[in-house]
This record gives sequence, C-alpha cells and structure tokens, in this order.
Amino acid sequence: MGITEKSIGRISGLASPKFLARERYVELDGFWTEIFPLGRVQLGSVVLFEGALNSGVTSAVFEFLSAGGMRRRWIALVGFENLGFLAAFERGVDLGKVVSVPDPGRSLGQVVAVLIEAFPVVVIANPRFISFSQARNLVSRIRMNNSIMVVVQRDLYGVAGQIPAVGDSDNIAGPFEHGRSIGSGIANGDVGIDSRCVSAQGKERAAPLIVQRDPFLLRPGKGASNTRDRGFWPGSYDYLVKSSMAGFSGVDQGSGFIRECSLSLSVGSKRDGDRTKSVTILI
Amino acid sequence: MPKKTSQHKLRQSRYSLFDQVEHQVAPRVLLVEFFNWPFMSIESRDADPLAVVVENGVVINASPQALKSGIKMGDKLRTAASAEPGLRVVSADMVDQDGLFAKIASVLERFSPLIEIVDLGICATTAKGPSRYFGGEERLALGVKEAMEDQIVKVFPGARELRSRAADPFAPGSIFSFGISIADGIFTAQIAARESLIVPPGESGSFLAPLSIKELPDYEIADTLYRLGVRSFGEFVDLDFNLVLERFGPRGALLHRMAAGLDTSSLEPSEIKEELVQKIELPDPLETASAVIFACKARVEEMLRRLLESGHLCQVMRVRLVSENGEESVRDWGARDGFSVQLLLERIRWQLEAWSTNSILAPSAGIEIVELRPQRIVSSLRVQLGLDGSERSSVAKVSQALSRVDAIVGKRSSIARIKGSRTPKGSVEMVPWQLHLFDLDEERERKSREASPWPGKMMSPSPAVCFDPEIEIVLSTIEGALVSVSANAVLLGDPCWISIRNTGRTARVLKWSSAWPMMERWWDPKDSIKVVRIQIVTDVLGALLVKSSGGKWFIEGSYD
Repeated sequence: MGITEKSIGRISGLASPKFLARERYVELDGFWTEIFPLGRVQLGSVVLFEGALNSGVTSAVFEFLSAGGMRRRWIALVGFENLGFLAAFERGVDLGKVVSVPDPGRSLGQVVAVLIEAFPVVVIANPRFISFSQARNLVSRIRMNNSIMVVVQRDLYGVAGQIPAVGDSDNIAGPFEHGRSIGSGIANGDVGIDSRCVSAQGKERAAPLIVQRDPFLLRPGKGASNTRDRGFWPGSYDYLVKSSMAGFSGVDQGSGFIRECSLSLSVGSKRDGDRTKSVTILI
Repeated sequence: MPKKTSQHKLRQSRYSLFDQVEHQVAPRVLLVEFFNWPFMSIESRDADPLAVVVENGVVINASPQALKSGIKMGDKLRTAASAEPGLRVVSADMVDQDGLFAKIASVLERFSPLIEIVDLGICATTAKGPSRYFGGEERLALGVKEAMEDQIVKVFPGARELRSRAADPFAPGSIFSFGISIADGIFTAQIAARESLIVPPGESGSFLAPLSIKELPDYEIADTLYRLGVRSFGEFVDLDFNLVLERFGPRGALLHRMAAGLDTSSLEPSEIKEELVQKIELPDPLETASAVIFACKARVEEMLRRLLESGHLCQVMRVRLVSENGEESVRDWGARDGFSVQLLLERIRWQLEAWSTNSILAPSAGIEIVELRPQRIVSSLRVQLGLDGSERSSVAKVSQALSRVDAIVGKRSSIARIKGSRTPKGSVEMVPWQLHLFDLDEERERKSREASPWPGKMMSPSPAVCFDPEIEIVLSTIEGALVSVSANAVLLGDPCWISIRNTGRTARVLKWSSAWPMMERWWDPKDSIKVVRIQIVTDVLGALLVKSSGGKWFIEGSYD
C-alpha cells in the first residue's frame, strides 16, 4: 500500500502543533513592554525580582502582577506575612484572585509544588527551606504546567513566626519567658532555634518560640543553610528584574506627603541572550 | 438594514442541520440596554455625573463626562483620581446594590410575561408573540421605548428635572440614554441595541459580518484571532468551522456560531431535567428577604454543587416565588459565566425586594415557596476551557489545591479583602478561603461600610509592606534628643536619625512629611489612643510610615 495524499494529510494533522508557540506567552502592557523581551513573559518561566533594601521591589512586583494578562490569572502568594495588600489593590492587583499562604514554614517546597498544579502564577518570598533537588523539581513542574513562578528575594516580608525548637542555632538575642519572646527580642539570620537557647535562659525547654527577626536584615547570620546563602537556585531563573528606587516626590522637610516615587527597573532575560533593558517610571 | 447575501447562505451551510434548525426556531428577542446603568444607579441627582466604576483599583466603566475629561477604561484608580479631583468613584460591588434594575426591567412584563435580566443594565424578552399582538415589531419597540422612558422619569429625579426643563433626558450621550433592538438571539440583539436597530429574521450573519473581531465576547480568543490576521466577524466566519473547533475547542466553536449569527442562546427554555429543579417549601411563610435567603442557602448550594459535579453550569435561572395567598413572582436571571451561590442568592433577594415594593403587585402574605428552575444549562467546558483546550484554573481546582496546602501547613490560606478603615493595616481583612458562602447580610453591611467616607484616612499611596507586629524605633534629632509630639500633634524637634531598638541599626532621615494625627478607637473611652503618623525617607531603609503612640515610635510600614 502506498502512501496516499489522504494519509499524508492525516499524519501531518497529527504532527502539527496543537497551539502556536506565540500563544505560550502572557502579554504585558505599559512600561513592561519596553523592558521584557517582545513585551511578554513566556509561560513556564521563573521571574526573579531582586533589589536592595529600599529598592521598591515590592511595588515592582505589584505592578507586574497587575500588568496585561497577568491580571486575569489566579495568583498564589507564599511566605508574604507583611504584605501591604492595600498598596497592591491601589496598584491594580485583582485581590479577588490572590490567595495568600503567609507562613508555609519548612514545608515551603511541598506547598509550592501543590500550588503550581492549580495556580497559573505562584509568587514566593524568601525561598528558604527549599533544597536544590526540590528546586529542580519545582522548575520542571513549572515548565510542564505552563505556570509562572515569581520569586522575590527579600527578607522583608516575615518578621514573626512560630519556630519549632529544633534546627541550627543562630544569633538569638533578647529575653525569653515561658518559651516566648518578651519585649523585643531579635533573632538575626536563620529562623532555626536550638532548644539550648531556651534552656540557657532557664525557662521551658523545647517550647515553641515566638521570635522577631530583623526585617531589614539582608545578609543571613551564622549557621545559615547553603541554599539560602547562595540565593534562589543560581541560574534557574529565566527573567531577572532588578529594581532601584530613585526618589520620592511630594514630601519635604516636615511638609507634604509622599505622592509618587521614581522607580528604575531593568530586566535581563536568558531567553534574550542576557541582554538587559531598563526604564524609569513614576508610580 | 443590511441585506441578506448569498455568501451568508453559503456560510450557514457549513453548520450541521441541527444548527440551522435551531437557528430557525430561535425566538426573536427584544432587548433593552442602558448604556450608563452603573451611573444611573448611584444615588445622584446629577444628570451627568463625573464618575467611574472601579473594580480592584482599575476603572472598568466611565461616565460620559469622565470619558470627555480623558479618563479611559483600564486606567488605574490613582491615575484617574489624580487627574480629576472631583471624581466620584463607585465600587463595582456597589452598583445596583438595591436591585433597582429589577424594578426598571419589570416594565417589560407589561409586554411579555417572560423577561430575562441578561446583565445589569440589560434586559430582554421574547418578541415573537408580543409583536403580533401589538401590530408588528416596530410598534412593539416603540411601545417599550415609551414605557421605559416613563419609568425612568418616574424613578430618577435627574431625568425628571431634565424633562421639566424641556430637555430630552434620553438624547444620545445622555446618562439616561438606552437602546432597544429586536433580533435573532441575545448576542445579535445586544450589538443591534447600540444603534437601536431591528435586524430582520435570518439576517444576523450579514449584520454582524463587518464588526471588528475585538467585539467577540472572549478577550483571549479575540486577541489571538486578531494577531493571526482575522480582523472582522465575517473573516472569522469564513474560517472552516471544523478547523476552528479543532483549534479553539468548544468555546471557539460557540463563538464561531455566534459570529455567524447563529446564536444558540435564547429566552426559550431548553429541556431541563426535572430533578435539577429545586422547589423549596418553607415550613412557615417568611416575610423578610433575609429570612427567605437564609432558608434557601443550603438548598441553593446543593443544587449548584450537583450541577457542577455533573460538568454543567447554569446560565439562566428561573426564580419563582409563591406567597402564602398564592400570588406569584416569576423572573429569569442570567449569568454568562454561570451562577455562583452568592450570585444566585443575591438575585433572589433582588426579586423579593422588587416584588415586595411593587405598589400594585406586592404579595399580601409571607413567602411559602421558592422554586429554582434552570433554564439554560451549558457544559462547564464551554466556560472554563482554556485557549489550548486544556482546563483553565477553575475555582474548584484552586480550592482543591488550597485544601491540600492547608492540610500541609496546618493553617488556613486566605484572601485579602479591602474594607473601610483609616489606616493601611486596618483597611485589609484576611478572610479564610474556605468561606465560600458569605453571609449576605454581613457582606452587604461590609460593602456599605466600604462605601462610607472615612474622614482622616491615610492618603494613597499606601505602604507596600505593613509590619505586624510593628517595629519599635527611636527617633532622634541631630543633637540626639528624642523627637516627641505635642498635644496638638506638632513634632517637637526635626527628625534626623532613626534606630531600631535592640539591633543598633540606624538610618539617617532625609525627608519627613507633615504629621497626620488620628484618634484611634475614639468611641471607646478606655481604649482610645491618640496616634500621630509621619512618613520619613531615610538613606538606607527607604521610605517608612512611622507612628507615635503612647510616647513610643514604631515603624508601621515601608514604601518599598
């Protein structure tokens, strides 16, 4: 039996792509189109937001989540205990489609894995407690599910948390009483606390502690895990958004109020040969 | 009127015989659309308000005057509000909170017993029978127009005032303007209503052909088609139906049929299995809307859950209310994306309120029976399918994932809701995800709180990070003296340094704002506390919102 025209047609139909490559993107709008390659984000990508302490990264993330097609998607926020949702609302984020899992603790990797299956966009703050093997699995899941993972590399979003009295000790300071911090005890660096810290104070052993970490601390203290020291899975992101705050207008020496801030954003993309484009905007 | 073309006949022939039969038997629809309904429904005597409807901080509708002033749909609220200081902002949730539109739409009942509220500001009824009774479609449309105008003048003081000044309240561009159309199917009728047209039977295809593809009621598919070079409905219809079905799935096929004028949605009830009908017989006749809603809640939830489990969504629901004395109120309600529990309960409430306040037809006794009869059921795939044919993240899927996450973490995931408050932190309420079913009374009360003005509210922008607990700091002058606040909220000393307690971290203050005094919990003499907030811009910690309370300073948020 020879190959007929009909069978060729059928085979080519089977082999043809189900949907075009150009549709595997989320279209952005506004200033994002100037800095993202072709003005869009490819589905199945990791977008890493980085910036120093007063860099406006949080505002940049809000702007990103409300840009173009991102706005119509369900968003899961993981690890954001202190997020200013009112600011997110003001910047146009659809809060009706944003679910927050504020404190996933050490189950972060597991939680993110579950969320990727259902949410088109998952935003993670401080991806600590994720091992490299977990990270690899998560990235492959993102690619498979055509989700977008946004990672915000900051220590600003979690101040207090209930910490199990296990793990590596870190620079705990401040008085504890009945297993709880009193006053303003500050723990620098990692959140793991050794029960010895408690016993050293002569109080209840192995009781869970409520500790405060310095929210402005960028560098981890001693004893921090390798994962966190080395940042979020070096090399695993597809887009790197760097932000810096240029200044605030409207406020002066004892008069006026903040009206606008000037934000400089640059986006580097591996998919675009690591070329970086920048823009300065008023938000 | 557009003429029927031979090309159109060819296009129709691509569809199955069933499609064509369905098209032929589809009833004629009379549709009335109020173009500026959200602005009519707000309590205003102003006939042309400068107002916008906002959903999640984005303008989704703007009044004619707001459009003239340069505000566009999709603008962020902050941008719009800063451009127009006198702008009135209406939350999308608050539009027609009182079910006012149900009262306006009831005018159609004088012409036909079967009316459907397609969306807020849009109502429809069958035209075939009434047009014969009133002597033709044109006469019917004219009769509806006059009746509607009378009702608007009766209900809206702004329209009354315009008429008393011998001006036409319904002139094109006016806030009270509306369109009436008669066509095959709701979709065509809605397009025709913009110009108040009567599209002859069978001519929907040629009427729709020149329309821009962006008018398709699916943004994503319309956008893809546009990028693929398809610019009009006609060009879309020229594509092979089977290829469209293969490429875009059932949703695309549905749109293809709609673009060809073969709108399958109609007001005629399709065959609905009797087991889907929910007849709720209340043990005692109930006289208040809240009590009836409460009594129906569980059954409504069960009904919609059963539908969803069978892979269906209800787009049109007939609600029949029967009083103890046998009086009836029947109304069809529409929801394009399918009814949720909350939406359906809200519609029942509107119907109850509209009925009970009707001066002629109000029931003389409490409600005894609430009957819910789905009129149009579609496969949930039609609504939920993604562009690539894969399942889009539906509420059910998201909910399932969150249940698993809650089990892992041991805490509840939550959704942030904006509520009325003067402080950034107080303006947000975290609601557990599991609370699908809101208590409507509470919800209504909350929305009214949101809409209330909040004197002394902190101005936008709000801090992007709000610390909980707040971080205690020491605010000092250049000489090292502590900055304090006088009794009349004046800063005593110029802030120069802040230092975070117990860490030794310091930052230099570069700028600071005026003081913003506030009496918190003023209604409670025991707990009331005077708080003064200022914004400070520092060299290393960025801009911060700090507050003085009880003689101490705290960082409340960061403008990161």
